[in-house]
Amino acid sequence: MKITSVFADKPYSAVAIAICFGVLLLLPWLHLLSPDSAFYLSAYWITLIGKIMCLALVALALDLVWGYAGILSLGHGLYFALGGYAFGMYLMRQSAGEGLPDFMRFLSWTELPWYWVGTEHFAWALALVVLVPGLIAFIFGFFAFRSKIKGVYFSIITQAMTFAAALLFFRNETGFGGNNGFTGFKTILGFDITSASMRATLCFITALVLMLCFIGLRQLMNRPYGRVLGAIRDSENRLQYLGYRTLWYKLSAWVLSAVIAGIAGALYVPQAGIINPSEMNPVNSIEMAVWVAAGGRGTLIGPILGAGLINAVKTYFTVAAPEAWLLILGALFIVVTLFLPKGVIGIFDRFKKEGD
Amino acid sequence: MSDVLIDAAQHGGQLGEGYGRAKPQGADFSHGIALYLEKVSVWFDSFRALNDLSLYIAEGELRCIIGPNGAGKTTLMDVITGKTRPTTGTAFFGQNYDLAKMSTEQIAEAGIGRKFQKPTVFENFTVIENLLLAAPSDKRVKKSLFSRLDPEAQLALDETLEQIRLKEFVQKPAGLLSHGQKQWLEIGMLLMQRPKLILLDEPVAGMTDAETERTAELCLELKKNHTLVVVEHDMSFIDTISEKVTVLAQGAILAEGTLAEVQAKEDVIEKYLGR
Amino acid sequence: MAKHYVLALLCIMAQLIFTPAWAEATSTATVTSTASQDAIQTFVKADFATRRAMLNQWPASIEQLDQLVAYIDQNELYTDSAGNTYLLKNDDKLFSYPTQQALEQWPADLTQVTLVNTLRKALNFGQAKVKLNSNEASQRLAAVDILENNLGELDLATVKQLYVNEKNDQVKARLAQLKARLDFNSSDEFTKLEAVKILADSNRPDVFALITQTLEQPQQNPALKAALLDAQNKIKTRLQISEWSGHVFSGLSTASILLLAALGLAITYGLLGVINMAHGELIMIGAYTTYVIQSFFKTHFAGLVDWYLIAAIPAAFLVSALIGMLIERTVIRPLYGRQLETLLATFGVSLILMQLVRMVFGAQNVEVSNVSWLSGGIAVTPSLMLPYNRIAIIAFTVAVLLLLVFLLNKTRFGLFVRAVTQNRQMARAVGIRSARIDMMAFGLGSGLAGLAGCALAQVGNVGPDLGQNYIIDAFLVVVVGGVGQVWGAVLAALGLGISGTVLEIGLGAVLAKIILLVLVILFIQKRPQGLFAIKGRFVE
Repeated sequence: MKITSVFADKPYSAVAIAICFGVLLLLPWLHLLSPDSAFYLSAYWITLIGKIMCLALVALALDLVWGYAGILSLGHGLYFALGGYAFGMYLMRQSAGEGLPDFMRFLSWTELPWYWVGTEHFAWALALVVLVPGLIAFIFGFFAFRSKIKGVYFSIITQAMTFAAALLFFRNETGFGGNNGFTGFKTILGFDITSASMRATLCFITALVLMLCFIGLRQLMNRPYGRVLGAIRDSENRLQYLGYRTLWYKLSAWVLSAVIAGIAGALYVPQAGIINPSEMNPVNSIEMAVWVAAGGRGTLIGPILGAGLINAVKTYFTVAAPEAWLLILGALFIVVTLFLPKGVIGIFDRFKKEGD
Repeated sequence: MSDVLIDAAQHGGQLGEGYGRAKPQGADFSHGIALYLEKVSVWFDSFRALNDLSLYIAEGELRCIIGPNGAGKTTLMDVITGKTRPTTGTAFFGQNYDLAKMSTEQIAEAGIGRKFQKPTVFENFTVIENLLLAAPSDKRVKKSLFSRLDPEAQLALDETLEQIRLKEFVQKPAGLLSHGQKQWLEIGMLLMQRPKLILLDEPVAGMTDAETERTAELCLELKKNHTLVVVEHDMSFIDTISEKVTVLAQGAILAEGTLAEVQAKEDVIEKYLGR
Repeated sequence: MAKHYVLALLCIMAQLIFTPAWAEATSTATVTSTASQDAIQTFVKADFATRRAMLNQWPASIEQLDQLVAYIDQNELYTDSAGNTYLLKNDDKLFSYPTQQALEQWPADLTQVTLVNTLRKALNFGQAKVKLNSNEASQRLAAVDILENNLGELDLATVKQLYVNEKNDQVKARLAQLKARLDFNSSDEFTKLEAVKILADSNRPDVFALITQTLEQPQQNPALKAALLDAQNKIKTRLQISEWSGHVFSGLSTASILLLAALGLAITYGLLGVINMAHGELIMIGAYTTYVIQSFFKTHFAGLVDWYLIAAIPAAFLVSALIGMLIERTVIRPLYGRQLETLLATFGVSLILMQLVRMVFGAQNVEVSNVSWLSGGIAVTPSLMLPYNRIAIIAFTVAVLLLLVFLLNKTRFGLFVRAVTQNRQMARAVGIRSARIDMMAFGLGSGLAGLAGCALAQVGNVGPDLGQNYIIDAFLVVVVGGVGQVWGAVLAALGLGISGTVLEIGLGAVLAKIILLVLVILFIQKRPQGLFAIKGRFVE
């Protein structure tokens, strides 16, 4: 009983979820089998699964602030991209060796800008992945929450922020590769990035991080902290009358969420092989909100499910019938908000109730 | 905030554990007065909600405030709890807490609890969760990461559940309680903050007769350990609980005294009670 | 004032009496238009000598000559081996001349009418000559402009003669400038000095360049150097004022477009409180409606193409309004009160609309051509031209704004909308059908978006992403202006439009946008209710 509650409150759900995570942890290793084997997973599938898991991680992060604290961020793509760029800097240094990355040489730059210093060290790159989204989230969140911007205004401002950041990163002078971004990665820690073992490892680490974050956030939400966040979502005013400094609760959740999104970005980039400013497109961030809404806000497992399902559908359609995908996505927005306020998980619950 | 604490220290008030936080014991009632409101005026653009109002509530008193709608009763409460700043005048809690300079959270921590007109419990949470939200003495983020409640809070929780008679309903979602029960839950949450001064804004509005009676009992019980200010319209309820009554009209005090005294006054009859 | 009118009248009478001498010998071969052909057709058919003669002494009206010049400049004049005249528009539509009928079958031997250099010059001078003979001062002014652009061909004596004979002050001043340009090249120091003093009144960039260049060479004469510096400063100031006026106009133009885009949003969000992320697409649909109407006119009412706007404006309004009302009914009403969900759902609508347009019209931009009577502009100074289409848009915006204010404040409908906005329950209690009002007000806001699209089509590119470029700006205008009324949006649009243009000039488009966004965010922090908000106690 106690062990399964790590995954879910009810034992059956917990077992199901545990099995799913188990499968996700095993899948990456199927890439190491010989291609003739029936269970072989090609590089295409491994990277696809890995990338979708990264997106599920972002959905998890967004659920923390939206599902629990009631803060709708339509700009989480920014933190995702920042984490991706941070790790990307390390990858660019790896492929450039002793010299400057290619795009800098094209711009006729002779030395590294100050913010690139130290990015040849893996440990510093990891630190940046956490620090950069975290710091920016902290500064933005502090000013935004302190001035009590709420609701729709807040959401639109997060959109504007990611839009502004995209504009900034599109410029070559900003020093992040302009509209080409970073690509052409070769190695991580000296190991070939395209080797089967590296791919499998990255995918496995992603699955592991996803599972650990899920378990960790569940634990956190079961503490009084989680209850306070939920109360903030329901009635922040009332909570202030009880004596809570809601600013710090919101800010801590916001920063944690941004850091998780940044980590997701950092895991995404080596598997996708590229990062460019289009990741900061306002549309991407709004899509993230739909993953969470479609899966089921405030359930943690719902958004993971939502992200997985929708991105699987997206992958299918962008190959089979690309014109139809945007129509489907648009319809999805409408259907989910009109008819599925509790998302897919809500459907499960309804069945359960009827079954009892 | 720090000068508030220095004040408290100088006036012999006690500081609780957590350095940097005010505990309920911090309010200085050495002069026997819990609440000072002196010449308070509140303007909203060109509308004057409170007009040069002066009000003193003694420690341990149960004061009822009555008056017609729009008299400024809610604004009065807003000023006391820091939601609205007085345009002119001063508001002090005890000798040392300047209410005009404190935030809502700080005032709540200093020991003033407010129960709103409409029940504002957290409807999606159960009764026990609502109380647990109100319970901790240390409401900082760090402490919220741990589940265990400090023992005095645990004790207070049990006591409060008894007092508000919701012990059988601990797991019920607050949204499913009756109107009266919601009001009591809210009073319970208020009590968990261990306030010194309790403001009740129309506590029996919408209640059945039985619930009203029970609420009157509750108020009298609370009076033993707290100072109460009750805003109400229900005259029989006020009759049951009141000692001193203040009549508010058009942002100023019209009359003060026992209910009988006040009800006899001409202008009170004219402006509020009717003939 | 009366003095000027009398003077002008005298000038006209003087023109009738004195015809100015012209340097070139008039050719004896005069050509008159035959009854069945106009001058342009004759010109096209004629040979080199005849053409030169025609240009020397144009047999027809000034307007015809201007038209000929225009056709040649725009590479639209074509002929065939039989000498018939054709016009090629937009590189793909052939019309007969002068009947203006679209031709399905193109003649096999179609060639463009091009002029060799001598004829080109003759064309320009011919135009100038005709204009100089005109009774209208504005035409003579235009003639001087043409002459100034072809300085190499002029001789001093001719210009002097023109100057002496000219009675109109304005034209005389321009001729003085022209003369000074020629005098500037004189070897006589005194003449040169006098010329520079006159040139100091110029507002032409090429004069500025000339003087600057001259200053770079070592100057012997100190008086001359002083005069040159003085002229340089004066002209520079004039040019800068001209440039900044241009910027202000540009800012006004941007502001008017912003306001059009934001007015609809001020209704749907400001008054009704609905976040409609598809508002940008309603603008885009208005633009596409305009395109469709124009295409329809081009194929079926080719002669009336210039008047298609009369149909396009109401059409753009209606189409967007209807789509808006549909959205309100199906998506927004069920989500009433839940702003975040409305935001997401309308975003879905926006995606669908964009994709549908892409599927029907293609992902590329479509061409909405300029109406001929809106082409060109007022040349206030040689370096400042105010395009007619932008002036028209500013006027259109003002008209729409006034109509809207009238609608909201003086009609019953407007009264109901304001009532529902301020207190829905009470409005319903007195019998106002709030649901219906919601739908119609939303339709109004959407229709305004359609009008914005129609205006945008005149000045910008029309593509499926048109709406995306304006939605954020429109929201910023409404948020800064304050919800609940329309005037805040006006001020906000002016502020954002002008400051945006100014910043863009200094810092480039990208940085300008970023800085504006940051400023708006800071402004909202300080004053969350915007510039003007509905007064009263705030209900949280």
